[in-house]
Amino acid sequence: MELMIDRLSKQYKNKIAVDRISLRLQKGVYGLLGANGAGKTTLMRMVCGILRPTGGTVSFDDMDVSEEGYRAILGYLPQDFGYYPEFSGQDFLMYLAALKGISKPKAKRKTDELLELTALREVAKKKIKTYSGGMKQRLGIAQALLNDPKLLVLDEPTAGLDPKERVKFRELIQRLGEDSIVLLSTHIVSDIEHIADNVLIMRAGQLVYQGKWTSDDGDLEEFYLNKIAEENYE
Amino acid sequence: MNNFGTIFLYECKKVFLKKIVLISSLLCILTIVFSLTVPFQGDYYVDGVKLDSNLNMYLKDKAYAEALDGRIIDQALIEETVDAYRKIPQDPDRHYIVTEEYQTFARPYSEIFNIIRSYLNLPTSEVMYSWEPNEKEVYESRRANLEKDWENLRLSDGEKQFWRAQEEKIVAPVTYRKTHSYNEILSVLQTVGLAVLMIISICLSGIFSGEHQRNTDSILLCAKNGRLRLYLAKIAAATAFSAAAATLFFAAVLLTVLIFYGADDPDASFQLIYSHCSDPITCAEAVAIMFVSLLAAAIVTGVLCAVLSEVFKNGVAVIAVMTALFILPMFVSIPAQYRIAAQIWNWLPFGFVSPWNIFDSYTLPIFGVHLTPWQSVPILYAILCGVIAGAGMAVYKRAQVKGR
Repeated sequence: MELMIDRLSKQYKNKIAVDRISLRLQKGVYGLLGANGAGKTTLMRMVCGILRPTGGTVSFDDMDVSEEGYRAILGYLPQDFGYYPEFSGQDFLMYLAALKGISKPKAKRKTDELLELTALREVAKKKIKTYSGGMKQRLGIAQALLNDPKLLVLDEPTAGLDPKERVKFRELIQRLGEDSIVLLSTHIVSDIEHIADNVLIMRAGQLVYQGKWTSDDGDLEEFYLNKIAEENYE
Repeated sequence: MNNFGTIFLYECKKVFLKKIVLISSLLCILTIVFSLTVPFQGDYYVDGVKLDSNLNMYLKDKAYAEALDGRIIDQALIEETVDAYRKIPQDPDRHYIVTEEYQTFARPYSEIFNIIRSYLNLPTSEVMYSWEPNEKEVYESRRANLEKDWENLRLSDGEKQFWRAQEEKIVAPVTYRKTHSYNEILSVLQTVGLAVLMIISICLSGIFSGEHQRNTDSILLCAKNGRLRLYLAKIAAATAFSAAAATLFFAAVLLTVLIFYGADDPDASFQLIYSHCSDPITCAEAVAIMFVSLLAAAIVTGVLCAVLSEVFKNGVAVIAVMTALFILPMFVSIPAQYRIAAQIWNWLPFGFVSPWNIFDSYTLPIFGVHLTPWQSVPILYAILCGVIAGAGMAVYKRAQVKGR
């Protein structure tokens, strides 16, 4: 199981959003850190195949990002997660399960399981427009997990979650990282500190740090701020 | 699993469950009922003087029409009609309708008189006072007027031959049948058709653009079936919605007509209500043709609207373009001298909801066979739908999530 990102670039007119990033990701949780505008979301969109790169390639076990097979193993929670206000949570998940190519009986089973996991069972039949911000975010996480993805891309997944939900979510991600590649971005450094095996730091479209991080390595937040400051100084 | 059926049902749910669908449908049905019951509302005035209530006028005319039902419009009936009208005194200061003579003698024959007048294409006063009743002349005049029309429309010799052969199949002299219900259907078809197309444009304008504006495109486009199958499911949902809208509103017209005007003879000759038509069809067949034509126009409009929704990624822009297409035929008509352009213009969906375009004399010659508008346009629309949907697929396959 390997996600291969090779010299991936995205340029908008005069701005380079992602600048020749190359990565080889294997099973585990990868935490992506970076300030606003560093290129995290652009990188994640290209990894998910919903944004065409200016240059470079993305593949998973030799499957190109544009292939249907690649999309079949992908789970994605976008930063700006959109939903259908008139759909119930259950309908929303069943609809996305159909889009992900899951058979109806399996979709029903998986939907029930994820509604339970994300503590949305009680409101499963209520319209999404009645959900709180945290509930919507949990629904977003549930939809990303519908197809048991081998590659899970989460853009700011903990936004809107309360501290208790965040702890539960961290545990879930850690479990998922045992069998799949999880790439998550967040502003909350402590999230990454607790769950990511590997840390990636982006600045101005470039990858400025990539490596394993343990508690023995010190405080990640301090390291991250120093790294950014160091880069700024340079 | 491609799950096309499930995806299609969810796409239908997204489209059909919008509030705008319910509101616009109710408004449209109310408008249909209102326009079809106008003949029963208010009073009938001639030169500012109230003659009777519209309801009484209608009931009287209906009774007269029923009395004539089944009679052949031959020399005897034509003479009877003209004789009855000749009893009306010639008075340039008074409208003939208000005279006692018209109400007593002529009005029972008004239906036949109107048919004679439209076949002869002569002014009312001339038919009333100076024309000598002649059955042969009535039917030959109609044919002669059609020949003139065909000349003006720049029909080819082959087309003229085709229509002459069609005319031979029309039985003459024609048997009169009460056709009030069919008249009403014919009179509201264009308005209802345009309303259907506008509702389709409004309700489908967000079928693709809504996903971009709602930010749901991110999760749809990266799903296994989120490209080709989702695109086809959305196009199928647009088609289903368009067909449902056309069926619902046409059914509303039929039901309203049935309730207020009753069921007239389905075998009545269509030429009784539309003398310019050379198709040898009955009124019931004409209604079925109008429904199929509306259905075809609705579906092609729905597919176009869906594709524009992906191209513009903005529902308002789609509605603006569709409104322009909707308004344009009201102000622009292409002269018959530009034969091909005029034919294409008349056959565009917003024009093809008009009965006079559905039953016009332009044909599509294919391998020596002439297809009438209602035979050829649905086929052309099916091809057009394929072309538009194909172009839309090329756009959708390249869809990306940018900005935000």
